[in-house]
Amino acid sequence: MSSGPIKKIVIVGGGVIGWTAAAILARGLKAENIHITLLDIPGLPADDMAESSLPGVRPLHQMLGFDERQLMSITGASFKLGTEYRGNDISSFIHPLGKLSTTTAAFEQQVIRLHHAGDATPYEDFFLAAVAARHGKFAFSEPDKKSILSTLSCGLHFDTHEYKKYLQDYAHYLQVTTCKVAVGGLELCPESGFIKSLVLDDNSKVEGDLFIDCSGELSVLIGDPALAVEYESWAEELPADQVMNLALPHTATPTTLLPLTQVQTMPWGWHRIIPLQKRNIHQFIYCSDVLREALLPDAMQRFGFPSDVSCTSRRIRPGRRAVWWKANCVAVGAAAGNITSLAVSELQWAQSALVRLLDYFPDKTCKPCNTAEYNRLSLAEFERLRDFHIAHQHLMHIHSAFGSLCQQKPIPVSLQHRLELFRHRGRIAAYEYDVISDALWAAFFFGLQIWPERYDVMTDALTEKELRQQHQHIKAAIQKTVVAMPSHQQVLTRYCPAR
Amino acid sequence: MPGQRIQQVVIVGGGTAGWMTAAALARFLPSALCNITLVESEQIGTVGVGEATIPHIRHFNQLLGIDENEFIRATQATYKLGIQFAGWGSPGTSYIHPFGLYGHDISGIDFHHYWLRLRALGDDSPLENYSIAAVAALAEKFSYPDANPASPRSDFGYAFHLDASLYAQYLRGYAVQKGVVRIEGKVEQVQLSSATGFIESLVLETGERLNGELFIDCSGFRGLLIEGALNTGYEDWRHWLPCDRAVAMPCERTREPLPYTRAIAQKVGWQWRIPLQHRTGNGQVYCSEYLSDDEALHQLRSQIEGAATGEPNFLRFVTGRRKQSWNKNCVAIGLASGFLEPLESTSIYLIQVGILKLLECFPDADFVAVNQSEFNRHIDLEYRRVRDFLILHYKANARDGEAFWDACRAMAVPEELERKIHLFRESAHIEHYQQGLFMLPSWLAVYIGQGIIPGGYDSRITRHTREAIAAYLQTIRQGIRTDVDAMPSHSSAIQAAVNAMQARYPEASMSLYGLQQ
Repeated sequence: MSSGPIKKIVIVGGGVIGWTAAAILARGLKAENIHITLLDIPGLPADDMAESSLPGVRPLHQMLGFDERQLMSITGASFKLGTEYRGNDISSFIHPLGKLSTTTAAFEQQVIRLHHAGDATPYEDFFLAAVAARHGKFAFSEPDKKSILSTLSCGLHFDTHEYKKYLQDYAHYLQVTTCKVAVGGLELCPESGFIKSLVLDDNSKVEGDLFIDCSGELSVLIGDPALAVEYESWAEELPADQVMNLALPHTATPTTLLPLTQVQTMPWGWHRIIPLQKRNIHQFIYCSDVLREALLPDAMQRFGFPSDVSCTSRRIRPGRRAVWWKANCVAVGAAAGNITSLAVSELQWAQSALVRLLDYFPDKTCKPCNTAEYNRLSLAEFERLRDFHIAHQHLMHIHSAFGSLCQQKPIPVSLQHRLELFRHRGRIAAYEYDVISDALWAAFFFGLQIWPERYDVMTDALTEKELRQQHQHIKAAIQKTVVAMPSHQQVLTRYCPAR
Repeated sequence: MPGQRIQQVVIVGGGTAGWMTAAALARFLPSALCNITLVESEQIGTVGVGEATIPHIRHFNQLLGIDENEFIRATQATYKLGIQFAGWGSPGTSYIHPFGLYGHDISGIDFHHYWLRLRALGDDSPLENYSIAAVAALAEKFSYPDANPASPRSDFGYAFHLDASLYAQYLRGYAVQKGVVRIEGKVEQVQLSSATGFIESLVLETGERLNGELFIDCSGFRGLLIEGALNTGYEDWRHWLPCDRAVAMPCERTREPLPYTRAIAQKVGWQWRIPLQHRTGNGQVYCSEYLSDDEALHQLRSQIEGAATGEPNFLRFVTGRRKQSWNKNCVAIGLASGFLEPLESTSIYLIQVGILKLLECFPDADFVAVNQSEFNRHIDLEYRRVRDFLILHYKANARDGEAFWDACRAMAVPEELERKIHLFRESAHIEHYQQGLFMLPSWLAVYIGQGIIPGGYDSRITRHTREAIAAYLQTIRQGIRTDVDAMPSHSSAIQAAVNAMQARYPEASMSLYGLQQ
């Protein structure tokens, strides 16, 4: 282990996570004169065919200097205003990405009160994002806080394969080099435990100062036998262990393309649809103990997929490494941890971790306090994300084979407290390091028809009639805005037609 | 269905905490449903001697619909842009902890890394020069922050120095007008339910009985209900914050009021100076193990600037925190909930978060437990955050050869603080946490001000030449200088507020640096 600034970074894994690492590091370290190499190793599990991401992806793209219109054209992307959930154990709802379209403080308390008084308005009706999405409408958010459009916020749906190619071009432009090789082993420095070099299958060596393990499930560097960082399994909390992707092209240009990810609960897990401009990507996220491989063709046929549909499949192992950064190796994406990607995708937690890595970018010595802080923050954030995913499983799957697995294990104490407080009075207990905002948590619980038993006494200050009038007013403002909004399809055609 | 609403709230104690609580409950609880009674005794003094605050108080006033200028008139308030710490770092030095940011981040890298890099290359411009709040404070200027978030004049907040007794009086008027019933009297007895251990009623000296469903203990250090009646227990933090006494004594104003609080380290403990419109508040915080009351008073008298306008008021306290601020049907707010010395002017803030959290978790008459657990979870975090930040001031002192301070430097600190200090020392990183006080600039102010200079900085900025960083930093300094030159003096700003008939002050938020969230 020597000292001085990092001069060479080696990224292992040529999937979308590896190229994301290459792009973010190359951009973030542009002027550092650091050589970045990406080893495109064989045997990597296939990437999901499409991404459904939260709004955070847009400022990241901006940071990278991407032209959003061009990126969206190339990746056949569409906008996302929320996620629609359906299922046997729940009634359908939209979980919107935007904010409540009112500035009234503690507005949710009023909604609870009117609900108790017999008002059946779903919570999502107070979100411009949700109402617009249902009508297939779309608009960008306005910065002016007085405008109702400022309550909008959007994520993106895009084709992962095209996105990866875009990142590749970008990384190459920033001088990232790449080669297709297999890693046969690695040389550790006996005193420090640092990786000195990777031994390739042709016995040549690749040296580096910092190694980024983006090899997913394979965990070539961070896992066994290399650095052998322990993996804690969350299989009992998150029982889905397989993801299958199928692409179904649109037969004609759709007249309405909803700016929504659609998720349907199934007796074996989830069926998720990510709408792209030219095709829809269907994902089955399931537990292989419940849905046997042998039954898959049947299931697919029932959904009307042609037998020659293009599809990929990969295993997922919910859980996480005890640390994400050990010695001079940082694991990113599924190599570090997995929580099924249902609500927040692997790509997004990888992006977040990479931006953090820039903040805590080391020198060659990788100071232990720096590494420890990176690990502490990353793991804390991941644990909060795990809570959000467990909430999905636990609250949406009840009466099915998959449901009984989801109900098996008690939920984490933090989630328990959050749920208990919400069920009691509709408040969200805030926890440090949560990337899911209080507003998103609340909209999620309300969407699931978890109606709190009580509401704030402060809400009693107005009469029901006054509240009803105010709410009517908000709904009318939303309706009026939606009518004037262009359709999602129109915006796409104008802004970023698919190539 | 909603549970039976609470119909009777009894607040014990009429100091700042009591009247802030009464005012806020009267503002937010529908008066038709709930009676609020506050019992206080004129025989029992309050601690309020003059208070320094942090910007969140503006948010509290705004929630209550209080006109800021009227408040300034009513409480003899002055503006406050930060706190000056004198003598905490190396001898003869002082620094300002400003309510505002330092410089601006560039390419996502916190500003201080650039400053550290330039410093390592031999530049000696103080960090303070990059904070508009600090520069304005030292220049004794004041103006409202710019409402446009893109303007460099927007990234600071402001608070007040105020006469806490006048503030309590003002809020009393507000609360009584909104229907709070004030009862003069001393609580003689607290009656508990034998079945549940809940407080049922208070019996006053006169024999009068006050029944209630929710009791709010604002009785100060004594914790008449939370401890006296419910024996909740107290976590003692004196091994980290060893001062256990204070003596306060106001004096005449000898000069125009400063727009900042002063905290001046002494041989033992420290002294405060709080400039109000009509007088200056002074006090000495000390540790009885190292300094007698007489010595403390002498130390204070010998340094105050004007003629004393009152008798010395001695206070004793045990720094620490009630094990549960909410126990049974009793919620402790203010000093009854815990004591942290006023080094960072957090007393009113802690009252405020107690009140706001109570409103968020306000129970029905059946007291479902989750309200209590959420309240305690949050308040606990607030106290710990402030505690660790205060400990940093003591731990990082540079007063070599003085027994009290030598012991402080040598003490073990809470693990979380240890980690923060170590991280900063090694790599100049400061965590951006979301919950509770304090954010990055505050930590930075104290670290640098007290001589914790990191060994490194973000390695990504080594690419910038000395000249490029120097030029960039100079632009910031000059911009701040120009902006501050254009500001009116602090005293004319107060005068304008006192005379102003129209409110033009900016909107407040729950933020230390005035940032809109």
